[in-house]
Amino acid sequence: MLIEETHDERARDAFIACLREYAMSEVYPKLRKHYDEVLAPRHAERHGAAPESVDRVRAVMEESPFYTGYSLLVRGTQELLWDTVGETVERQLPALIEKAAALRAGKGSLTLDGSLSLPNYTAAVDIHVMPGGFHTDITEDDVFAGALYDRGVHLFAFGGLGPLNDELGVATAAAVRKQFPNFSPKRILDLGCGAGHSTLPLADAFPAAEIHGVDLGAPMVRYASARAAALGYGLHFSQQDATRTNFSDGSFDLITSTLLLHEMPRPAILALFRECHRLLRPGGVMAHHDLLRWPDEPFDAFMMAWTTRHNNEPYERASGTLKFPDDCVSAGFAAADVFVVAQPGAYLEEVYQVSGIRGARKR
Amino acid sequence: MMILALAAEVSALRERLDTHERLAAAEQLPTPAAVENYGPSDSVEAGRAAARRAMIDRVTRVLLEPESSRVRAASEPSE
Repeated sequence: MLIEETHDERARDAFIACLREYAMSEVYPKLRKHYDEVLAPRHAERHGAAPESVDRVRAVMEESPFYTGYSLLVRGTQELLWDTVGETVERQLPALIEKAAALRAGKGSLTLDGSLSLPNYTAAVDIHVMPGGFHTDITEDDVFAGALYDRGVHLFAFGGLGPLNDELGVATAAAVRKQFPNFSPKRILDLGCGAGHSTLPLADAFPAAEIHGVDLGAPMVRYASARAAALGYGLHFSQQDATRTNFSDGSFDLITSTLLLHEMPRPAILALFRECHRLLRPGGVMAHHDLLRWPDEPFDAFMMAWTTRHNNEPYERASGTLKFPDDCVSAGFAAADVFVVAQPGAYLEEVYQVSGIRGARKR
Repeated sequence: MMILALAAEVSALRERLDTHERLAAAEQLPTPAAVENYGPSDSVEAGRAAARRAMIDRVTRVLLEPESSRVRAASEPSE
């Protein structure tokens, strides 16, 4: 279901992936070194101590041309990424739409809800600077956002999520299996499933289960449904708000999400936990792959907030500062049933050292 | 953004030129179809990756030079 690319489109993509890798693997560590060796000592010279807060880090960083250069590079690459892949998707969109419709007719199911009202926190911002966000239909039966995200995130991670962009979903499924060795879920729900990158690994880990994916974006679930069918999976996708789905109480054994929480404000995350508790049968498990904490160290916290400010991810801090187990307890789970699994080795570990899987089992 | 977009175009153009030369070396005409169907070997791709990286270094060098080396360079006598 992936887009087809010409010689020159592949070359542009490769250049963008190289820019991303350069920025994250080379420039970011240099920026850290520059801060440690030049900027923090400069602050100490002026004020008697290294920066002790994010605001103090910001004050010295924003004086630095190197930091400005880093910001221009990362933001510029992000805009270029969507522009470049977007042009390729638009060129073949009618054919993609036709292909998606034919694939969907084969396996699994797709349910759209044209009357679904988008929550303001999603409608108000194009997350990741991706034009139109995950939800905008630019034409009838559209799959643009799904095709754009599928290829775009691959370049963003410079291939680090694997050929199917599924590394995080594979890790989530493995963590659930390890945490609950005899657990054999019959019905599984993946919240904010996007293009289905993390939904498919659930089917691999639990082949006998009936698997559902929900997302706010119609173009995402249309694409996800076609992509799953193209890869041989029969899954069920629907356009729904993860905080208030139309599924029955106690109708799922396992509910997952991947990199969803950090795009939601705190009240929505708490509503999502309550919805998980409602949807799980006794003994069922919710598992969310996302930030485990927000860094304490001022430089790390400032740089984590870079994406909040410059990559249109305004709610990111809410997921990193969730209170575990308290926020699960307030949703109905017992404190003793809450679990946390750090995920070393997951994508971009050197930059984002704070991700993993958190969740709870319902009594 | 404008410089990065232009650099991406130049990089793509260089790869297209490289494809032309490699087709010519194999005594094939570089028709549009031949260019589209050309698949670089692993070693050709590795060379292209190195060239991309070198171009990025050159294009972004001034922007991303830590102040310390810039100050040092400015204080060194010019040749």
